Amino acid sequence: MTTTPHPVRGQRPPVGLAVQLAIAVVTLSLLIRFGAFDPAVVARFGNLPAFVAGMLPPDPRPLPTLVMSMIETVMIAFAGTSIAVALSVPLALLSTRSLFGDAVTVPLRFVLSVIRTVPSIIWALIFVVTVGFGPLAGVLGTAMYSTGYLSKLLYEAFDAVDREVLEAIRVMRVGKLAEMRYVVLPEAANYVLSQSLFMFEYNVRASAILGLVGAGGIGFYILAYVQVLDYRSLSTALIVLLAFVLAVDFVSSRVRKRFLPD
Amino acid sequence: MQLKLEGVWFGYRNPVMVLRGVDVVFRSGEVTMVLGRSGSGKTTLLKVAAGLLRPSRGRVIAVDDSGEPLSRPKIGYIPQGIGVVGNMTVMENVLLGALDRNRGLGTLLGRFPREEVERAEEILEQLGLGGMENELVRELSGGQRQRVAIARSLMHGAELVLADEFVSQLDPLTTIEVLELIRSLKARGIGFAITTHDVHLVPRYGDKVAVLKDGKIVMERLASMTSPEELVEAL
Ligand SMILES: Nc1ncnc2c1ncn2[C@@H]1O[C@H](COP(=O)(O)OP(=O)(O)OP(=O)(O)O)[C@@H](O)[C@H]1O
Ligand SMILES: [Mg+2]
Repeated sequence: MTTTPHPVRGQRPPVGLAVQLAIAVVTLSLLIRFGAFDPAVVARFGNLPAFVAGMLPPDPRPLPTLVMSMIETVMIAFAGTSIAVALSVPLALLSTRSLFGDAVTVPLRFVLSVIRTVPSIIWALIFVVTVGFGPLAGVLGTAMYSTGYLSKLLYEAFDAVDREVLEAIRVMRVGKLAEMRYVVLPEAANYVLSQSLFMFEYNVRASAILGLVGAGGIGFYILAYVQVLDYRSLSTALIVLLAFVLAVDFVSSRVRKRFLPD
Repeated sequence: MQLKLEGVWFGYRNPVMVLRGVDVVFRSGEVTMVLGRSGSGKTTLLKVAAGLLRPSRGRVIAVDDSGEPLSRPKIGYIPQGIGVVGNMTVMENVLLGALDRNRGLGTLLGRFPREEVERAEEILEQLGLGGMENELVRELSGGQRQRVAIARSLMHGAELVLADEFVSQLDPLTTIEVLELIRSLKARGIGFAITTHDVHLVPRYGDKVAVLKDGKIVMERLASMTSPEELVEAL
């Protein structure tokens, strides 16, 4: 391939100076309103070094408990994501415009968008009320939000499947199920896998705070350590969290490499 | 079999009509070249003929050799981009042609009756794709994909194949190979309707030519009764 030389245009910012200034002014006035320049507040920034010093060294004693609760967090994310994938694939197929008419896709897409408007932690709170404290509420909350989110990613991928391929099959009158099974799913399979992995990685991070509402996992301890001012245990918890997140990202990048071409 | 378009009108958005009273007949055992300029509505015409688009006026009917209407004519449609499933193997793509007569859980789980698999192997052999059953279609050349698409139509039992710009993207030698293949299939009673804007293909490989212009068939005659110059004139 050859490239034709073309004049390099000046790198102009996408919005004009006036807009940038306006955004800066609004942000600044918000900070003032929230008290960022209140002398009493500014003085409290001086506590930061003391706070950090208070976190060191990390306390190794709660390590076994924290590792177990972090494993629970990962399990919540895993179970919640798996349920979401299982629900999202059929829901996304039903929301695909090249397969179903507006009478099906429009209401379904609306319901899915309502579901994903509510974050996992609020869903978890609702499930804590209905099924009680513990990881089950976390799993259900994660599954709810992820179903709303993943379905959207998937129906967009299904919609993007080449219509011509679908039409060539449709002429042979094979039925909708066969169209899904033999055209839409195989053509979008890589995308389904990569988005499911992405959702899992995201959920591992998001599940770390589910404990704040009593829905299981390491978040319970993080909240507790902050409340009792046990900053050395808090730093242990953060290290465990970081280690697991990195490990999960590593594993899922290996899965990607193994199953997805580039 | 004959597929007849009678006074067909079609527009994607009213009131703009792409087809404005098209009359044309495609027959099995015959190659019809549909000639027209870019944007003249060739793709639209084939989609209407294939039943993918419903005419706003007029009708499309299939009749057998004694003139009896056929409710489920065996038609194959090969879109401009070939329409094969890239992430599946050659064999899987060909077996899609057998789906309409093998509905049910088995085929949805990927299990096809033994005789269908044998039939598919036979067809692949005939089309020079023997031994390629397990290749992924996205890794094939353009000419090979076209053969896969033909194989799928044969597997379906198509008596008429509607092929959009079938040879436009191929190099000249492959074009001739594919058209020779079509000629040999014609001898077995299979018909083709092929859209093109290449007037030179018409006399060599077409039995009949239909020229589409301004939403109508402005010329329909035996390919041997016309010349490239005359066709260019008609376009
Ligand atoms: N999906 C669509 N929605 C709206 N208009 C369309 C659509 N497809 C085609 N058209 C319009 O219909 C007209 C005919 O298009 P068509 O694709 O049938 O032409 P064609 O003869 O196949 O052209 P080409 O040789 O470039 O493939 C064009 O004006 C095009 O803009
Ligand atoms: Mg076209």
